[in-house]
Amino acid sequence: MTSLAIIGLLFALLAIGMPVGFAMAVAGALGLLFTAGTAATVGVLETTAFSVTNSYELIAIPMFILMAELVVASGIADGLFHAMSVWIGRVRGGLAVATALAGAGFGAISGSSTASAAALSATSIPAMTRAGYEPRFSCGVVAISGTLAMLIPPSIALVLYGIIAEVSIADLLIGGVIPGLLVTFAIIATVYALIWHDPSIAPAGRSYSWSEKLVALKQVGPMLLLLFLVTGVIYVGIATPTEAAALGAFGALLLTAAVGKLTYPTLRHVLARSARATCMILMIVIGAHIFGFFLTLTQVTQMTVTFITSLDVSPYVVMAMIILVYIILGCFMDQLAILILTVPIVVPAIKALGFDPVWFGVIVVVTAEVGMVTPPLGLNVFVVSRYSGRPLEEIFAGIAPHVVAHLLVIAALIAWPGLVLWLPSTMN
Amino acid sequence: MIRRISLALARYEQALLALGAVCLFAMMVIVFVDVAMRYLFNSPLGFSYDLISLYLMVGVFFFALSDTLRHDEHVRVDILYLRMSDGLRRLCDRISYGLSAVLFAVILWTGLLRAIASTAQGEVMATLIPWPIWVAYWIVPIGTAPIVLLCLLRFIHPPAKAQHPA
Amino acid sequence: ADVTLKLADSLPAGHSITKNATHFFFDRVKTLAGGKVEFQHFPAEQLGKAKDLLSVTQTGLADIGYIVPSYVSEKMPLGAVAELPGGFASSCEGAKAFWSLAKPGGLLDTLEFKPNGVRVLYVVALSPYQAVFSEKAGFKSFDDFKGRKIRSNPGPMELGLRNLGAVPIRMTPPEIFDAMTKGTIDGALLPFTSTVSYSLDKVVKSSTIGQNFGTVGITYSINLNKWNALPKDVQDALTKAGDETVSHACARFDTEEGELAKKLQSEGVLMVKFTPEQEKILANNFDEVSKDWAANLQKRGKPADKVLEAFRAAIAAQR
Ligand code: NA
Ligand code: NA
Repeated sequence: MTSLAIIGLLFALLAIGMPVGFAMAVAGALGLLFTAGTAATVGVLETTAFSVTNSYELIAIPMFILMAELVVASGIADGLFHAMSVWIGRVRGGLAVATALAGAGFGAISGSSTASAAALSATSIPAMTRAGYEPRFSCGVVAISGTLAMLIPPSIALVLYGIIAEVSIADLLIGGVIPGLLVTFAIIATVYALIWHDPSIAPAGRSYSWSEKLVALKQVGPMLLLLFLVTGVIYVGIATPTEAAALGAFGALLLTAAVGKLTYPTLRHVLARSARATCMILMIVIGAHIFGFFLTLTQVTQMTVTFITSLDVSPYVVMAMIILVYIILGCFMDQLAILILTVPIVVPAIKALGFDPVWFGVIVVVTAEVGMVTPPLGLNVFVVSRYSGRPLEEIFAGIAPHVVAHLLVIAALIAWPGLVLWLPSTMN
Repeated sequence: MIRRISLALARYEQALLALGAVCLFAMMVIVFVDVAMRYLFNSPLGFSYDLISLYLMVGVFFFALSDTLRHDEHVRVDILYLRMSDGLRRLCDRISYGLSAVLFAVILWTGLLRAIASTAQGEVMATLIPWPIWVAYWIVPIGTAPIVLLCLLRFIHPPAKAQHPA
Repeated sequence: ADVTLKLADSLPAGHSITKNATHFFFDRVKTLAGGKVEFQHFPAEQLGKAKDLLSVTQTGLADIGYIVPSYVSEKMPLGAVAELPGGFASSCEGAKAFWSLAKPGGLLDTLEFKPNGVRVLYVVALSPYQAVFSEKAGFKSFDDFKGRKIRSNPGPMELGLRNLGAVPIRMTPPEIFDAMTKGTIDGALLPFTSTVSYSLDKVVKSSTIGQNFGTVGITYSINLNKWNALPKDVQDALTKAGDETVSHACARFDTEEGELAKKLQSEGVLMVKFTPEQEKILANNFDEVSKDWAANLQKRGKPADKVLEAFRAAIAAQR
């Protein structure tokens, strides 16, 4: 009873626009007050914020954010989109396809999908608008392409999953590669399906000469360099995935300096933005912990999992139900908060059902991508709306076909686990 | 009066954010040097793990906490919020900021007591370098105090214009 | 049941400590108290991180907590005495000596547990840590410690390695496997049970055997107020069950450790033994580390010499 009331309160606080991390902390603290008493509640508030942040493994979060911000500041992100559009901008819908490819490329150096959506918004929306693309269509492609950053390594979401589920972070990151390419392909396929249905949404662009194309290719260089830096140091064993994030940020700093964009004001701006973004994410992690303590005490989650796993149906039906729950949660809650709240409970259950935790981690992150663009809380849609000045509902409408495509990808990953597990298995 | 407090608060927040930015930058450089020293010379910096987790990570979060709220960069679900009338929105803001003020006030108060007690005991970690943990505990009240004040100010005077989070 | 006790720890649900100690404790209490007591188990940091579980127990969020003195070294610095390298030869020696100091009325109880408002129900000491190495590390003899990057816990373990010319590395446990596979580190200090539970047995190609590079001294402790409010017969059941759990769990760890050592050897892991001279160097090194530990705490006004002496006496009493 208390648990239902507190969950209701959480949704009410979210609905009135309270910051997500704050709302979870407040609702969780109130719940603890009723179930565990004042001393325990005060004790949780005293220790949680400090002990969550007092953690070495979480440095991957600020470091990947810093790296992405530096990549944007250096102009590498613009160059990447420009190169893509020079190569394929001529065909109908080419700029939209270029956006998806740039999203995948940027995803390969950024661990945060909001950072990626911001970078794509700033570069590809103006280009598509100038070319006469329908705004709903173009904003939809940008918002969904931004989510690739959380699947294609490096990925904050996969790192966090690895920490919580205690599975190999390297396996998870490598396991995300093929699904990431698959999702990229799904976005492109959706773009063509939409254009086939209504050719007026995306006009054809101008063509470029081969010399222009070769010149443009050079702009991909720095991006590839960073990509090899981050994955290379992990692969060769110079650094752990956690440390690689910091090396990536350092590499991005050097690149920014090399192209002459590293001024003192830029550095200040980049550091300030990264500090705030880190703070925002950590606040959600803290709120989710406090709310999680309450949920754990009431044993709501355990009972749900026990119920689901005790059902006398095929494991695949159970898996479908779990994914449905993740998609529903993804509508309302922040993706990292969902990971922290559910993974400790769901992963033992799916292991008991005979599924692989690395495979499941990748599936969860693909569903989290969907959550980034579904209403009412769709972070990437907020970002695109902010940059493009278009209304939220227009972008949510533009994203709908891509959500359907994503669900098909999830179905494929469930049907063929090898899509996730094959690449990591070649590594060991 | 409130205006003067608000201005002073903004200045304090900016100074803290600058500290947070320094923590972030230091974190990047220290990890780089640590890995380079370990890989090239087999002699990593022995202090990086504790220095980063105990002070720099805690610093990035708490020093940026209030400034992040001021810039409305703490994510929220604003799909309903943006459609509300001005009056209703102010009411919602009062509830949000009022509850947040209480939340952070508890964190501030307990954090302050913990820092004072730990300082009095001179608590240090049993690592090779005896890191003073009490110094880290002080980061909590220093970073939480401004957000309590900011929430109170916004409780009294909800911001005039609604915004998306960045 | 009349009493429900909430027990919180930070271990994954199926951990060997949970199986060998906590589940045994639950069963014994249920039998001894005649069904009067029920337990709710919150594993995997569900109620707080390892270093917060003292506070979680003190404030009553949980009744019984997984309290490891070395994780709260600023509050219980003396409790780490069981973790000093070289002290003892088996889980049982260590656990029983630790238990005699930490149990109610013991020296550590008086100095640290009682003042922190908790009462130890049972203790666990993992089998003494060995140094395990990957193939790339090529560890074959005592001299090979020099320059090897070895993951270890903070504190005395680090110092012990450094004195041998090795390079101690800090790293979170989930990263050890990848780091050892790829050569980021050469090896780690772990008991064989943990070596296997982190899947390191697939990477490890050589190891020390019969050494003690330290261990982790774990307690499961109950909130004192909660304890005082329990009926006498329940208290007695908890006390008796706790005492049995210490002996039961350590015997299981020692058996498992021996079996795993044989299994690893049969899988081709080189078990490196040291000459008497080398053993002596190692013993001197570990003695140095213990002295250093005690001296640092004495400086801060903590009676570490007395605690170390009592711990050594408790070990000697078993031999
Ligand atoms: Na990525
Ligand atoms: Na959503």
